[in-house]
This record gives sequence, structure tokens and C-alpha cells, in this order.
Amino acid sequence: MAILECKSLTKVYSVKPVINGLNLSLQAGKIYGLLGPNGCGKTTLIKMIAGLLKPSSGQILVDGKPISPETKKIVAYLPERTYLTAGMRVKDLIAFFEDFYDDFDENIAHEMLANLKIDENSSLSILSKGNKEKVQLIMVMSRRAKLYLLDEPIAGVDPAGRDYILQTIIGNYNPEACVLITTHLIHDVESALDEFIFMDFGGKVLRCGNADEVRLATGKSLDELFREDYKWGSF
Amino acid sequence: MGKLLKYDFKYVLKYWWVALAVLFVSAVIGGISEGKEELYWLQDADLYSSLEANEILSELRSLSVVFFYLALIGFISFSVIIIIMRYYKNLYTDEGYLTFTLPVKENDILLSKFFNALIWAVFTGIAAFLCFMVERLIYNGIISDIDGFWDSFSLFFGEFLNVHGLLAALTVFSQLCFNIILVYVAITVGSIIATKHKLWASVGVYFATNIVLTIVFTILFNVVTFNEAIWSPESFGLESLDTLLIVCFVIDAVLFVGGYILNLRFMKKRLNLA
Repeated sequence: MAILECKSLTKVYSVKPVINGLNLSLQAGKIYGLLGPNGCGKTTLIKMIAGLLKPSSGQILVDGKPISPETKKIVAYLPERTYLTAGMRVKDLIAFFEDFYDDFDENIAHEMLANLKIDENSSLSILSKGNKEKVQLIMVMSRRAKLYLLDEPIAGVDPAGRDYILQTIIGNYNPEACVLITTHLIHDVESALDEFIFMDFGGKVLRCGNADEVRLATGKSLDELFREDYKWGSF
Repeated sequence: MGKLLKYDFKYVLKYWWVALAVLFVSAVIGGISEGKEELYWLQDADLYSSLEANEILSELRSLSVVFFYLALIGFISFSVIIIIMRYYKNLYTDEGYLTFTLPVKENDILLSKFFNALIWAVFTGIAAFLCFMVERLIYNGIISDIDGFWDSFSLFFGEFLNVHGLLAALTVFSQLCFNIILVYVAITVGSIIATKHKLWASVGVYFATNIVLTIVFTILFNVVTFNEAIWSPESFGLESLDTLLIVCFVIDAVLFVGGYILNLRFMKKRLNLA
């Protein structure tokens, strides 16, 4: 059974459809790259799956269930921005995740924080932006979720930071889970992806498939294919 | 809901007790300064005998009393602001990305915010009253006559421990509940309709709603008071007051329920995190 299904999904802002009749099915045990230019609806789609936005029409099913607190229990969401409460300490945040998520593994969080030499007694307000993002990623990846939604996890991070983030994702996600990563930095995530989805403006799927198969068939990397598909003026 | 309330409570407590400590210290200092002459420790000192020192002391005395009343107003205002900011920041800024993806119902989120505001409003009222009493007790120098104080205290509240007093208390409570929800609805609507300056939009919604409600109730009040079949100033007594309190309670209760449902609907259907 698909872990995520979108059926005729549409989201309209004012009168402009950002996503128009999207059909999508993601399987467990794979890392998907949701790739597309800025403004094509990637974040809108992720927000709808996370339960932050309501679809204008159509349906989203996570593990066969419509979006509800039940689906939020099995979805680990990393937004493109920092959502941490400034006055909290890192250890308070661990307690917070422990309180709300049954699938949160405290030991993984402790281990990853120790590897990064982040003091758990530190207040989040004194951490650098980069470290806040890493703490947030650690919290998300310390969950044994069924579906991980990672929205632009490497945007605005230096190349060394990108490597760390990708290693954290690959090294810590539940192998039976599905990971959906959105980004426009294809080159950096390409090696981590099992499947890819090129999303066009209006939230339509331009191209999708298995990353290795398409590379073998075309002799091109996903980054090269992306540049061809989204050549300036081609849409 | 309990877990949400725990974090909301802890957040407010972290800032609230500091404000309370400032108020308490200012109450003690204010009480001593405003108190009887014999309480001055400088009375017998040479310094006190000079006119200049007397003036300085007099000004310090006034300043400390003014500071206490400012601290009292500041404490209440600060408590209100911290409760409002908790609601706004936790739901309609970046923090909302975490709050609204927690595996809880929107109703639990709103209920926890409401109870948090209610609890802290009551705590703030009690703390402000107690600090005021501390200042008055020290000022009047009646700490030595504490039994007399409690007698007058019991007498004062004994007057209110009857049906009329309880009805008045119930109406004040329903008014408080409605006002909390009104502020929350204003923030929710303001945050949804505005893409920028959400707080200002919320303030606008709050005042606009208040103006509309004031107009409606002024008209209703005039209709009732000018209709002698319903209202007769000559026969106005405690029973009429009770009726008025019951009417106010019912109106507040209806507005509270309406506001709560509206707020919940907006949270469920129109969430708009930028």
C-alpha cells in the first residue's frame, strides 16, 4: 500500500491554482526528491500533507487515512524555516518531542547532539541559525516516523553543512519509511535519491521515475535533466 | 490537551514570576515609604534633620509610591501581553509550523490556550490584589493588628457571599471568558486576513468588533430603558439587578460560545501560515 496518495489534488490561492489536479503515489522504503523551480507549489504540497493547509479539492491519504491527528502521529515534518520557541533549552525541546510523539527516540537525539557538540542545556535563543536548523533536523530525524517531509532541508546551508544534513537524513531515517525531500538544489541531493518527481508550475508532474533508471536510460544526471526541462522560457 | 496546557503554563510562568517579584518588592518599598513617620529609619539621624534631606526623602517617598502603582499597572498589562503574545506567536508565526503539526486536534490547541489565559488572568488578579493588600498593610502599620485586619477582611467579603454577590461574580467570570475569546478571535482573523503586519490587523479587528458590539448593545439598552413596560427606574431594586446580571451572563455566554466556534472554524479551515 502507498504511504502517501494524492488524488486530483488542487489548491487555489485567490483565483490562481498553485496545484491543479495532482495525482501522486509514494511507496514506503524510498527516498523521493520533489524537484522544481521556486514557486511551482512544492512547499504548498508539503504543507497540505503536513496538515498546515487545506486542499481546495481532491484528497490526500497518508497510510490510507485522511489528514488528521492520526496521520500527524506518523508524519515527521521539517519546514523550510525555524519553528523553535526561542526561550526553550535544547533539553526542553527533547522533552517536548518526547511528550507529543510516541515514535520519538530520545537516545538518537542525545547521540546526534553529542556528535555535533551541542550542549543540551543551551538556550535555543543563543544558538546560531545553522545550529538551530541542525537541532530541528535532529528532532525530526529522531522520530521513527512512516513519512518524513523535508522541505528545502539544505537551502541556505554551506556545502559542509549540506553534507552533514544529507548524511543525517540517510543515516537516520527509518528504512521502512518514505522520505520526501523538496529542493531546487538537485546536484546536492541527487546521490541520496531513489526516486524523483519534477514538478512544473501549477503543481503538475513534468517527469518522474527511478533516479538510477533515468540516469541509465538518458546518460544524464538528474541535475542535467532538470536544467533541460526547466530551461529559461520553456514554461 | 493537558500536555499543551503544561507548556503554555510554563511559558507564561517563566516571565510572570519576574514581574510578580518586581511588583512585590515595589509594594513593600511603597508601603514603607508611604507609611507612618516612625517607620523611617532615618528619623533620628542627623541627615534627616536638614531641610534638604527632608525634601529628598519626601520626593523619594512619593516616587516609590508612584512606582508601586506603575508596577501594579505594569504587572497587569505585562500579564495580558504575555498571554496574548503566547497565543499569537505559538499559532500564527513560525512556531505555528510545529504547533499545528502536533498530533492533537485544533480544539485541544484552542482549549489549552483558553484555559491558560483564564488561569493566568485569575492568578494575575489574585496576585495584584494581594500585593495591593501588602502595600496597604505596611502603610497602615496594621501588621501588628493582623487579627483586626482579617476581621475586616472577612466582613468585607462576607457582604458579597450571598446570591447577588455570587451572581455578580459569575457575570464577571463570563465577561472574562468572553473577552479572552474576543482577543483570540481578533488575533486569528487578523492573522488570516493579513499577509504582513498581522498583529496590527488583529488590533484593528479587535477594535472594530468592539465598536460593533458596543453599538448593538447601546441600541438594545436604549430600547429596554425607554420601554417602561420592561424597565421602570422607580421599581429598580436588587431583583432587577439580579435580572440584569443574568441577562449579561447569558449574553456573554452566547458570545463566548459563538466566538469559540468561529475561532475554531477559522483555525481548521482558513489557517494561513506565511
